Amino acid sequence: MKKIKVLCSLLPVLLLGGCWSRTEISDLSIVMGVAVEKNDKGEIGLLTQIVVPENVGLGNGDGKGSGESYVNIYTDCKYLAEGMVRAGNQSDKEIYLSHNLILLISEEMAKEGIYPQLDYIMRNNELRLNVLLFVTENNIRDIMDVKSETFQIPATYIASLGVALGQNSGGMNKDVLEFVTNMLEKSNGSLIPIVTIDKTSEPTSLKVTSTAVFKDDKMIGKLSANETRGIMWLDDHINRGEITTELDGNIFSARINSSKTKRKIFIDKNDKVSVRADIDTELFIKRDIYGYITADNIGKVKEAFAQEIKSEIYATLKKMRDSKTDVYGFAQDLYRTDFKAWNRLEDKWDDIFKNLYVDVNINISIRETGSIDRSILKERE
Amino acid sequence: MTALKIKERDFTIAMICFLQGSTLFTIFFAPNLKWEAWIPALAGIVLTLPLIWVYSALATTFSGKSLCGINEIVFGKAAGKIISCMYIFYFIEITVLSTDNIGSFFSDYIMPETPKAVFFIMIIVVCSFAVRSGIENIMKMGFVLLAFVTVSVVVNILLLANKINLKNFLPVFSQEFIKYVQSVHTVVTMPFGEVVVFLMFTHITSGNIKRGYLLGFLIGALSILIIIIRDISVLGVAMSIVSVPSYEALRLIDISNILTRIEVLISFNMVIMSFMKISVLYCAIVEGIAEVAGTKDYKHQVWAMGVIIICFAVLGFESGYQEVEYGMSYHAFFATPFTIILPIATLITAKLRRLKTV
Repeated sequence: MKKIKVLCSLLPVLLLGGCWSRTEISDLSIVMGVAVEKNDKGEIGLLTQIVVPENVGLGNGDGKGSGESYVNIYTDCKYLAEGMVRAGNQSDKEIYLSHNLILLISEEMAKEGIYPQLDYIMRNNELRLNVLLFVTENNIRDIMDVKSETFQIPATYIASLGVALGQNSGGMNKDVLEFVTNMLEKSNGSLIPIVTIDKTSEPTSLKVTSTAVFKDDKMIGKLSANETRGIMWLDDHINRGEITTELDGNIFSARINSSKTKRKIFIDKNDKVSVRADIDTELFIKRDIYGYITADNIGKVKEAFAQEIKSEIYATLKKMRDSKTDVYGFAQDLYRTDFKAWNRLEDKWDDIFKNLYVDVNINISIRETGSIDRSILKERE
Repeated sequence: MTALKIKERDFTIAMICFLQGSTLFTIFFAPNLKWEAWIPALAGIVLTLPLIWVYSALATTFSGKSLCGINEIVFGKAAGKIISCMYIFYFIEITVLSTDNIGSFFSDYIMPETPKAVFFIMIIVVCSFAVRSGIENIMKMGFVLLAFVTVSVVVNILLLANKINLKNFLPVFSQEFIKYVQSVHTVVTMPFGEVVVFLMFTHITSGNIKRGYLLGFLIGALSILIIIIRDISVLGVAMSIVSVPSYEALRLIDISNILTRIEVLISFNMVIMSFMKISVLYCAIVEGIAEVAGTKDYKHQVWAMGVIIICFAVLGFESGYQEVEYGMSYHAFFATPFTIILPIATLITAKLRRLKTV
């Protein structure tokens, strides 16, 4: 009798423990990338890139896996949520966003504001906050069809470009968490890399050569790769990269081995705000064809590199000041150091930012000059 | 004389688990203060210490009596029973809140199509079995469960190390003063003051109860503080907009694309610790009812109580948003009499009337 009772009480566990939300993997459309643009009707054109698992990882002509490893589903919709449902209907399977890597936004849409799209991304329980953001000038249908030798799925290709950016200092990759953090903080600017199709290469490839500047959630301009680096120097985002400078007709090229920026904001009694940035950079010399660098004039070379970095920084700073976009996070720095001062100055911040004094001190150390000490051209003289 | 069934060590560990079962509730004081949520947590620990002294003083003054027994000695038989009934209702309320919380978490994040009631039923059925086997056995389990959870918390802090940004903690004290008061009130009554429930079991605990109470509270509360600090250092201002900060933070773990999507680990933690919390509360409810009603055996009412908890949990809140609103703004006032006013009043009355048990 007792056993029957126990069994009876276990029965609901067995019945209810059955997986309600269970879905077979073959019934899911696994989305790797989402792209949005403004269509002709002024609504949203939504492209979802869905992976075809059986075709991934197999070479062509390998029997079964001869097809494309992805399909793109394009739908028109008023809102992203609606579009996802339509995409699900088109693909005949349930849209599964958990593996999504990127959100690619067309330039036109970025100019109108991307918050409505981010709201969907953040609300959706399947998605993480580390979805990478990209802006594109190209048609999203074209760009989501470019693959490379190593990446069969365009979305993973684009995501890998974002990861590479962090390593070669060609721009800053930005995920949803970082972007909304910028929106929640006091500074009003943010950067998102722009990915474009490189038609000159064969086969066609993708590249990131510029960065979109956002004020709040609207794109207001673009920066070239060098200009972006001007921001990254001040933001302590430089990891690797190449830098070139000229001195007495010699062209020097160096690899940035590491760089560290310490930034501090000061406010004096008269509410005058200034910023001081100390940059420590380690360089490996990669080009010095006349063997110019010696113990005597290494200081001059260092100075030339320092000037080069300064000119990169100040060129971008001027541009940002003119557009009153604080992509550096100076406002948030001030808020963190002295929130009372910030509360006083908040209304005047645009003017303060425009005339903000930024003092840059650069300390360069040239760690090595490569495997040769002297130049052949000099030896032959 | 009642048998001393619980060891001091198990008592302490059970309290740590009980407090960790409240980590899902950090959202109740986070949105107000955003990145400064650690301040009320720290202040709350300091301000709860006197309360812990009051609880353990009650337990030692009236050794051999549970909370219900104490009420009857101090306030007389009739008033004591009424106050005990109020306490039991309070315990039911926080049990329902915890059940609702863990159930909602599962149905929101892990199995969205499954009705919440399914999770409530599954949790309460498991807890009912535990309760029927007795509080001493629940507390004995604590050690194993705590070891598992501690390891996983340490590991995930290490895995998140590269996402930690200490600048996220600045500036401090930038909000209005009243918001700190509100948050401290919430944190003292909501997770910390809830340890008043352990007064139901002090009379069957051996060893030094004061030490057990203090250690259990301090370690448990500090572990909540560590988890809050971890979440702030990873999420920063975004802490104020996400629904479950711990879960959202752990979702960001990504070590070279290899070690990623391990957030399911935190749901293990949440289940384990919620199980401990709900079981302890559940036990307190049924033992309390048995004591007030004057019956010796409580086992026959376990299932009935379970059904009531499930029904309350189903009817309680329509959506998570309502629950957060309730937890943030109202629950603290409901809990204040039970966690702060009544214990202090009981102790003062006892001292004035020179009441104690031998």
